[in-house]
Amino acid sequence: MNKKKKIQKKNLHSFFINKKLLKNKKAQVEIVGLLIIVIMISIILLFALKAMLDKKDSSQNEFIQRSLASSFIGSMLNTNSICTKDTHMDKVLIDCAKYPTMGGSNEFKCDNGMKSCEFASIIIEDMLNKTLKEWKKSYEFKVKAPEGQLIEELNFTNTVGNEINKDSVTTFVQPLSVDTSGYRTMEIILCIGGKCFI
Amino acid sequence: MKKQSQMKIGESMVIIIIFLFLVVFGLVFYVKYKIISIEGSAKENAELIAIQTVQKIQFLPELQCSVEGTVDYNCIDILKLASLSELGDDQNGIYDSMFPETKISVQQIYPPGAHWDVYGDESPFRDEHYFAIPFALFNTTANQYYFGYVEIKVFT
Repeated sequence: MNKKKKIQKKNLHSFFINKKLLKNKKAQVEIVGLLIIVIMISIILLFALKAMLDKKDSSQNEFIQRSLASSFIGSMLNTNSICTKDTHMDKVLIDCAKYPTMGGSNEFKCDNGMKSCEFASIIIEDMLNKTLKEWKKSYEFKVKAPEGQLIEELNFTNTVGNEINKDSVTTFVQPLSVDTSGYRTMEIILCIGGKCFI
Repeated sequence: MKKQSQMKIGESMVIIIIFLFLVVFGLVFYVKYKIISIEGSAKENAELIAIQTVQKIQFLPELQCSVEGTVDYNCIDILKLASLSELGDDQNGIYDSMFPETKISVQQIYPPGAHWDVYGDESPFRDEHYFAIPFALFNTTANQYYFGYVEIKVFT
């Protein structure tokens, strides 16, 4: 009887040990599963982070925008205007910058009777519309008289594009002497990619 | 005991479904990211080709303006341009290596004027990358500068 009791006690003891071992193993398996899920989420998060931080090389974009701005201003200033015979656009703008409050001098009048500022504004707007605006490039065009007075301001914002941050705006400034001494200079500013920050 | 086993199977199935969902989500995200980066690099390459083309045009004696031996780099001579655009495919083959997979044309916009197809043909079945840059156009006979732009289409 005593022996039987001993065996029963031993069996009960081993049953409890086995149950404890089984429970431990199950907990380990669950921890491994949890670990796999954590690793997977970490990998996904890392990829998302990389995709978000992966910034396009801006130097190429800046070079393109600078070329566009310098080409536009250079070509525009060189162009023969139909204001008067043999008058280039730079002469029209210089006259406008010399007398900004009057809209240009009274001596300089276009064949159609327009003053230099009005004529320059119409022609430059037409040029910008047929180039940068048509190519859906955001821009801001400004002309400043030697005294800092703003005599021309035109802009276009491409709402579809993603050019809204400060880094993507390229500013090109072309100084232009308004008299022979070279002390009084006007500024032609063209910002491509958005509004100017100057 | 039977109900407990069913519960266990259900639990395992939910875990497998979540696991598969995570794997599929990860794959979709990765593929989309790859497609965007490949498209971006293709666009970047096309832009590079376009910039190279613009710089070649600026230094191309067949197009550039020169007044008394002084070259004006941001300018195209209209007479030279007209002659070059009249060349047939058999004659302008020398530009094939210079402007690969590219179509170049010039548009005069002020005063409104002509359009010249300088080189290359359209490739309707390929991806087209458009790039344009303003240029001064010089009319030698009238001694007048016009405003226009060069448009470059790169096919990839």
